[in-house]
Amino acid sequence: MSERRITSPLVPSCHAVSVSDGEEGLPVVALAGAPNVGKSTLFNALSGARHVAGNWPGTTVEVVRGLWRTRHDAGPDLALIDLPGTYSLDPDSPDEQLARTLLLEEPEEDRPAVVVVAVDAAHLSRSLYFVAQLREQPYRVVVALTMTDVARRRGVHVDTDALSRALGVPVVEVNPRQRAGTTALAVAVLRVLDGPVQSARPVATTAGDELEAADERFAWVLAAVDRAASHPPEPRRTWSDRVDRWAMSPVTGPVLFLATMFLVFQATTSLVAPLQDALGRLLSGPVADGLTTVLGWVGLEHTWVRGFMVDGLLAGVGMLLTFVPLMAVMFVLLAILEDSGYMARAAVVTSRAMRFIGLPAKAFLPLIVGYGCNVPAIMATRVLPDARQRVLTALLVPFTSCSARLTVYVLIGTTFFPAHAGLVVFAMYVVSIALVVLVGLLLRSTLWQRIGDTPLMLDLPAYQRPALSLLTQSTWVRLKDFLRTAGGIIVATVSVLWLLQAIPVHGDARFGDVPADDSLYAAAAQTAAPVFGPAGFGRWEVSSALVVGFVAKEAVISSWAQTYAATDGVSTPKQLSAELRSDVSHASGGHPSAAAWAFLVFLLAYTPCLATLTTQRREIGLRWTLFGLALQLTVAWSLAVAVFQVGRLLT
Amino acid sequence: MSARTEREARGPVRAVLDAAAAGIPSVQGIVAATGLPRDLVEATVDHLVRAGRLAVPDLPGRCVSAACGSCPLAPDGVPTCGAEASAPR
Repeated sequence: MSERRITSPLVPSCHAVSVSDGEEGLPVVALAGAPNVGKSTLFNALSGARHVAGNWPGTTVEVVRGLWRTRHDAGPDLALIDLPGTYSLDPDSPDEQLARTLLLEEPEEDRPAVVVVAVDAAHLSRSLYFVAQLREQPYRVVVALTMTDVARRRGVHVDTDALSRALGVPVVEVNPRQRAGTTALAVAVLRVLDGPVQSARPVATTAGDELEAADERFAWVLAAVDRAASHPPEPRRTWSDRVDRWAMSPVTGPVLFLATMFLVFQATTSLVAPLQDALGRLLSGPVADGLTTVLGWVGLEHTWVRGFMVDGLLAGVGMLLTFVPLMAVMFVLLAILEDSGYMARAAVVTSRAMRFIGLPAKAFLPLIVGYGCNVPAIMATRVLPDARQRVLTALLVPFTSCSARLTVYVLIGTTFFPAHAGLVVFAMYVVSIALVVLVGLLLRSTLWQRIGDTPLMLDLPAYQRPALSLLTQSTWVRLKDFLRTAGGIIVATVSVLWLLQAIPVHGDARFGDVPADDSLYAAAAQTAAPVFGPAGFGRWEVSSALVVGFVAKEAVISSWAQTYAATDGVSTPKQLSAELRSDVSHASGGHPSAAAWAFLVFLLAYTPCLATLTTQRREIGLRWTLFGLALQLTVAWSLAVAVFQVGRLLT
Repeated sequence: MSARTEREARGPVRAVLDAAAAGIPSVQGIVAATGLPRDLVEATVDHLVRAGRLAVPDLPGRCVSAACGSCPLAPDGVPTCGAEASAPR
């Protein structure tokens, strides 16, 4: 192969240093290798100030070109090109494509005369893949071994002679920052320039089989590294590894995960219950009385304004606010699990379960987020590379039990199963996981039978003691979110609800002074209530909350608080529980437990909220969103009816 | 067949891919399962990720500071959590 003469003009950048015209006609040496191996430092050490940067013609890729005065034995100067950093000759970017073009796709006579590959001694295998590929072509190659000081500090020792024999090319140790080894490198380059082109190494792989080709190259690299490099022994297993043996085991991992979540819910409900009622009494007592007094000062005590402020806003939003201690405790416990590093292990267990049931492993990411909030979870489906995977996962996200539903679980749990509220909440999360699995299997076996998948690996953080400052900050951010929702959409929903309850449908009642059964709200709710009759909660006071919950799940509790405040003067969580128990007992024909479970299942499975629907429409389109809506309502109603009908036979 | 012999029969890339497909989630685990040097496993994992044969996603962190720009799940740095997600843009 003749020496390459670079005749293509470079477009100089505005910071170009002028280069002697003598570069024309010189042998061209290309400097190649992965990013961050010291290649550019080596280029600067070899070319000094004699270089110019500019876009390679026809591309937007900047290439630096310079002059290498070897000064060895009156040897010639060399034209030096610093190619863009590349891990391999299979391009992943315009930069890598240029490197490939110059090295492999140009006519032979236009290719560089010599390629100096910068190889990182501290990461030999990664750097040598490029050499393995390059050696499949007849080329003059010299390896410049960099980062040997870093390698030695890590206990890695490289025998350059042995490596040279293994690779079939000269290997020269260099330290460009200290300008060490540059003379030896010049000697090696000039020697290969004087000699014949090295023949390509023999390769026997099936054409077009990328995996086989990569396997062959890495096997070649491994053989070379085995012969030429010594590495420190693998570190002993730490206590973290011993814990992971159980935390990520296919058998004990899921059990440990479920046990952990059970403890979280149990601790949350048992610690907070007394606080909740005290807060309710505070709001319905002194705060309500104070507000009434203030309204009295301005002559509004006996007007609809008082009804709106006390029976509407305070009752509705206030009841939701009694759950703040519960949410705070749960957020703290979850933050502890996250900051300790355990949740990453739980993610591994979950991802494995995804693959076991035929879902893409990466789907675990959006589904895990869904247990916080379904809206970012649906947006997170963008991490999936395949459109079908994104649609499938976005359809499953609504079945993950978001934190907004938690307040309703706790209320129902403490109302109907007071001694086992924690267990009820835990059971709902297990049901949620089961629903994701079953609906996922249903969709996989019908709509997406052939859906590809990519194996997954995770960078697991080390176990660590949770930091108090981070726990506090994380808990506050999440609580702030919860309060912002209460202050925003819940206030709006409560206001609309109050308005509907204030408008009379029949009779002579005044606006704002309407018997609950006679309001526009009750009339609308009574038309939908019979749908829930087979599920055991067909009374409008109970089922209407599910319609309101379509807006936001937090509004379910506010809706009940307002409805029962209007019908029965309810003002505390205990009073609300008593009214719910009574109404559900009547609606279910004396089977309140079965109806409560049915209600919980419906709440879990039906549409999370309007924001979720809006996000789904944006991410997967209207058609799939409507399909998902129909799927959610069908699954929710069918399951709720089944749970109640079977449950009432057993109770 | 020992891990090393089996691995040699399969090739290092296939060995790493098979281990990841079998649910071994970490480099450490694959090193232990295949007997391959850590340096090579890391290089092979990087290669498979570039080839789209393996995924190494970032785990979602807590939104401690609502710094959505650094969240791997925040497209283009746009807030995605809680009320922020529902806010009109």
